[in-house]
Amino acid sequence: MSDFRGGLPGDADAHFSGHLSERAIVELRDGALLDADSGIHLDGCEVCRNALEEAKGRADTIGAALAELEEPFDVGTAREAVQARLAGGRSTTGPGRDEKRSTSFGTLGRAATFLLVTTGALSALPGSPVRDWIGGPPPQLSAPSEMVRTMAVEPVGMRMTVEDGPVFVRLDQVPSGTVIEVRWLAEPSLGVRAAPGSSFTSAEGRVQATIAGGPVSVELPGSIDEASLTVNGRVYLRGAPGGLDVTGPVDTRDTETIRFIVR
Amino acid sequence: MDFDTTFEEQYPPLVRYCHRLSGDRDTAEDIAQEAMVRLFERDVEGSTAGIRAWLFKTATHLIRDRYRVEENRKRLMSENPVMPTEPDSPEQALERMHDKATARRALDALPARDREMLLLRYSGFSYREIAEAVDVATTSVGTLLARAERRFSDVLLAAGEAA
Repeated sequence: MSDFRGGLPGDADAHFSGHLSERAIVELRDGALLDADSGIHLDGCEVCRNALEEAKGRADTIGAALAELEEPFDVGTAREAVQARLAGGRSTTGPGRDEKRSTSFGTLGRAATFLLVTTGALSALPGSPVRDWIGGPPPQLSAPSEMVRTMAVEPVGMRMTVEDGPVFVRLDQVPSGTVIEVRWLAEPSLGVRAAPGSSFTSAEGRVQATIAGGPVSVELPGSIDEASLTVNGRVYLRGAPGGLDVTGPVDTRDTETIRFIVR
Repeated sequence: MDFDTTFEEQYPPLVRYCHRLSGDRDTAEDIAQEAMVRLFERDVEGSTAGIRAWLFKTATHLIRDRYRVEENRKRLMSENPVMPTEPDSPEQALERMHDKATARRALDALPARDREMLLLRYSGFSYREIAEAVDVATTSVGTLLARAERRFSDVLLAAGEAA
């Protein structure tokens, strides 16, 4: 367990040692705890600052470990399979699916049939434990629109006025599939917005953000030619007086906006 | 809601999450596709973030349900085992040293809810969205996440020291 337990109001872990709890440290790191007291404490407490840095390092380590689990998959084939099902077919496997997959589903299908029959029979028995989970409340999927309404969240972000260039925007830990929309504004304003949990630091003409989720909105001052956007260490666009060099994964583009999808 | 755009945006992160959560690629693709089918069949509407949250929550429930069925199957099978368990081969023992196996082991060491929360967090969801998805109080998310991270890191650390 962590040594960092302390006196945050309402913290169930509080041991009144005078330091932020591990929970508070994690919440601060994730941008979920924004109270002034914690910030003031952090400014004056090297132990807690070190704990925060340690938590950030741990997040990097965990993120890297989880990335090890990634395997390639075929989005096109999956799209066809879903389209086929939506069109009325119940085929789960699409064209080009490998043999292992087909075999796997055949086996799973038979197993599922067996289990449906078996659990159905078991559930008919008084006192059967199977009754508990069959008879229990269904997953909360029956009112998806309402759920979406309750889960829709406002983005967070920052904005600054920039009279002179250059302008740099750096986005880190952006999940794959995240949409980034870059827009040029008429006013001398630089802004970045993303999902709650994202954190931002800034200096004159610079914004650095750790992105918790999308969509991400980047607004650049149209009056400044020299600007760059870097995502996960890769340059997506670089503007110079001579023109704009776009090197990121463009999804759509028009005269005012460029929409990227992070790969 | 445009099918192609939504699919391109949502499917890759969803199948990655399902793969990390289930540990099985076929299961991950199957669950992710099922969630996408339900999304369009039910005409779910909302912001991109809201739809993403709906998909991940749906997938989380589907994986839970699948494991519940799988556990029941294992229980039934255990009463009449048909195959002995094979001992680990040297190759398998070596494979466990691999980063991927270590990460998998670290995930498997977590209780199911902690695993879901950790993976949702590292898929970019906010504390409120995580709380909605796994049915816990938003105020508990920080504590539970801190615990899950600590356990996950301990397994990684132990594997690193053993290597």
